[in-house]
Amino acid sequence: MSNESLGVLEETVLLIVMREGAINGAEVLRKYVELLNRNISLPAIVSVLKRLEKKGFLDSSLGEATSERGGKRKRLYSATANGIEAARAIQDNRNMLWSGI
Amino acid sequence: MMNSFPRWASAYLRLFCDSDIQQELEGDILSNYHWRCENGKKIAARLHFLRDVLLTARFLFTRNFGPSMMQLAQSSIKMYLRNARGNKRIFLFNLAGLYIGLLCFLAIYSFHQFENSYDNSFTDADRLYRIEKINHDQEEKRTNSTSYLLHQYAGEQIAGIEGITGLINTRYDRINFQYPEGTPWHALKHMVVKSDFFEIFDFDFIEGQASSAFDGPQRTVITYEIKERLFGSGEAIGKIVLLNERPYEITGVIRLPENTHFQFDFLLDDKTFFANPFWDKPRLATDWHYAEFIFHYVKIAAGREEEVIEQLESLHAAKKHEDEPDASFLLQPVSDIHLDESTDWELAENGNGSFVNMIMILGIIIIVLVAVNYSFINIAQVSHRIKELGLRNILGSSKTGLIYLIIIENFLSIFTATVLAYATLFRLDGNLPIDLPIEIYSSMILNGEAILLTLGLVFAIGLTASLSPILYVLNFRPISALQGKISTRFGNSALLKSLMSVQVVISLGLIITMVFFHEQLNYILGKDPGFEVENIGYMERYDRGENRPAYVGFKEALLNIPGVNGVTNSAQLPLRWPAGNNYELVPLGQDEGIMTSRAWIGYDYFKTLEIEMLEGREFSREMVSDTSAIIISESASRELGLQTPLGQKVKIFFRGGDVVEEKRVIGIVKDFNYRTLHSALMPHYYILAPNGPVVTVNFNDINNQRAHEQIRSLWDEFSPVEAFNFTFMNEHYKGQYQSDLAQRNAIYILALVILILASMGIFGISSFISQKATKDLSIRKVLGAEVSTLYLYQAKQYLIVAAISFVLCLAPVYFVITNWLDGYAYRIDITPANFLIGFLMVLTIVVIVVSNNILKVALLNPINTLKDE
Repeated sequence: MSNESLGVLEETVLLIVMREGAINGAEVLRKYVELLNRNISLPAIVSVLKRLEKKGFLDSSLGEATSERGGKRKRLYSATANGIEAARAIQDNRNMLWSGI
Repeated sequence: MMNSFPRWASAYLRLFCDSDIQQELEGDILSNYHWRCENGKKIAARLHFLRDVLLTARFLFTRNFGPSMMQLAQSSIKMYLRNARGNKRIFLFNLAGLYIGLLCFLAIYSFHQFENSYDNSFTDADRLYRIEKINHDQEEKRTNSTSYLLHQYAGEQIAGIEGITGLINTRYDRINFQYPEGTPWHALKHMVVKSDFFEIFDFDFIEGQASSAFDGPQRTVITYEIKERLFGSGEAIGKIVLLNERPYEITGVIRLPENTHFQFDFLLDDKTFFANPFWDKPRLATDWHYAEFIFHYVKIAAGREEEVIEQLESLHAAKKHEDEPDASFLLQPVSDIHLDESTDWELAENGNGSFVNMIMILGIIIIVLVAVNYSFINIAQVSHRIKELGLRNILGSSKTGLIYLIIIENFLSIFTATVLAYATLFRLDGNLPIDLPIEIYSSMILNGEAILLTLGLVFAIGLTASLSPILYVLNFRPISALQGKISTRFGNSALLKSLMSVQVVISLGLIITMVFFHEQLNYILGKDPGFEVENIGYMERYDRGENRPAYVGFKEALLNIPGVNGVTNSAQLPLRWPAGNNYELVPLGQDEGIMTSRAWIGYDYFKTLEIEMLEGREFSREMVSDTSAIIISESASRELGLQTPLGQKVKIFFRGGDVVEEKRVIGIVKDFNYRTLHSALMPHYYILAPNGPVVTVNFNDINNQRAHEQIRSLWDEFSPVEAFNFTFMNEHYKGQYQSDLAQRNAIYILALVILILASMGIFGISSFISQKATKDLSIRKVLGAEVSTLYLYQAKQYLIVAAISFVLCLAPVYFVITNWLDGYAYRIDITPANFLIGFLMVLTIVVIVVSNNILKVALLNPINTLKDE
């Protein structure tokens, strides 16, 4: 397991990426709003994505440009093996703690 | 619906993000916007868009600046210096404006802080109060004096008081202080305090202890300054000094801070003071009624102020005489005493609260003007340098780089000016070259608060000055810049003219106020005070030892000196009589009288000071009965309204209490101004005191050196131990207006500074306006306009601005001047002529300042200006 720890928002974003496969920042935000019914700003999401990428939990590649994006190419994120393991480790710890209640 | 990312937002993002993140964010933000639009809420979508853009600022922290940031800073500093060398005039102009503005502001700030720091440093200063009283008689005057007995009663009977102490205000009395025996005396200033004084006011003891300072009779505590003067570096504690020839033991040396309203050379305790006949007020200690020059200070338990006041009022009701008026009490916070002008007879000259506030407002005007003008000149400068910037941009320097360049340049200028201003202030501290009522206290600008304020100022001026040029740079396109097209966004002439109008209004207001100020002071200084000022001098003698034959023969000997016309004496200095209307004169057989002040004078007083007797005569040596006679002033006689005042018997009461004495009127003297012309004359009566300590001499010619020398040797003969002193009346008289004159100096200087700053601003704005009008005017010229027509065409708009400003400033200026003149009993009228003089002066300045710019444009060769097209 990696030494890097995960914050709550980071974990949520990581899980959304794991759920959806290759996904860009705007789509993560949309999923976040739809699934959790909470509001958040795009720069907050993008900065979390960048952080996760730096920690090695996410990988990214450039996608195609669309007119909806004003001709800008999108960056697609997907989870790495490290990322999946880290998310699972958190869940295991949580289960262990719940079982004792 | 947006199809591409807006330019402004892109520029904003570029400030904060690396380019790859920027690409991604722009796309994401845009697609997000479209998604929200599809959900149907267009306005919400736009708000989200705006929020997303603004919040990208967070990426500044993760932005990779790398070595380029250092390079950028280096090259900016290089550019800054290069630009400074290239545009020396503008650069120095800017720096000088910033420097003068900051200097004035910081100096005023230090003075303001100092004046507001009085008596703040005592323990629990926020709970220390002086008890003050308002007597409910005709005058309703607020007084700082309360009955001597209050200390005892309050200590016993009033709940909520944690401590009380009192003192006797002996501000104008001097005691002869002698150490060691046989050496000359020093007439020093004392203060008489209750022995518990140091329990409330914890002064810093350098020698001795507060608790044992007054634990026995014949003790005294001296200030460190006096200790240095008389004892040098040795110890003073335990030494015996002679005070009016009585031995006292020094039990303490304290440090007396400059910022306290207690000002004295040494302290005595009241028990010793009353045991020795320095002062005869025997009834003070037994009669509640007597309350002159007695101050009481209390420490009050938090939140119980109201309760204490109620108890004080009921105490007064219980103890007062039957016909003594009711009184209400109030608690004056000790730290407010210094700047409060509502009471007379303080322990030392108080500060002038309204002056301190007024000058602080001027300081704020100065700093605002500096910030506005500096940013304005900056914009004008950027538009001048637009070709350079355009070229830099084309050669690959990014707009971000240009923006950092602007910010760094600004901060370097402001920072340099601040450092220079601080350095000057430290240099000026204590060495001000002219007489100003403000002192510079460098200690006041070295504490955390002041440094934070200064940094805040630097930051605020830097930001305002950078903001507009930054927007300008973000908006401009290098191609059009190189073509010579200047964005007109900042050329909005309504904005420019209102900015100019503000400066003209401020200048006008100040100049008109100055004109009135000047006239009023001249009026007062030139007004006849009603007595001889020029050829009079006086000496103060405090040789009041019991066995000394005080003045026997001294006056007669003075009269024998050639050149001396007359000699008299009085209890107080001729221009320093008590102001309190404490004595009621009631003609015998009447019920109602008038309130008056009283003064003790010797024989030949009015003759010596050349004051006219209207009726009757002066006190005379031949008339033994004159000890029961009084002379009344013209105004007293008028208010009494008697048919035949001469020979009339009057009863005199002290503030509605018992009869003090019964006297006969023997003369009426013409009114004269014994105090400054700030205050109107009050009715007076004069009573005979043949041996008053102040000896006044009337000379043929005040510059007669021989007479002065003879007076001096006479003094030494009659009083070998007391140091000779002599004051010229005209110096003393002018000295009373010292603070008026000094205030005038300060305000003149500040007005001049504001005027210079405003002129700089007007100059900056007008050069911008002219620059914009260059092509317009060139075309007119090509079409045949004369230089004079072009000049007038431009000048007209400035005259209109000046006229509008004049109308705008009338009301506030009128208000300020009326308020200020109300402080004088003798005042000039407010005439329209002075307003016009001020207006013409400002108009001249405006014309001179803008002429350079508009002439330059009018004289331009159209070929040079139109060649860009």
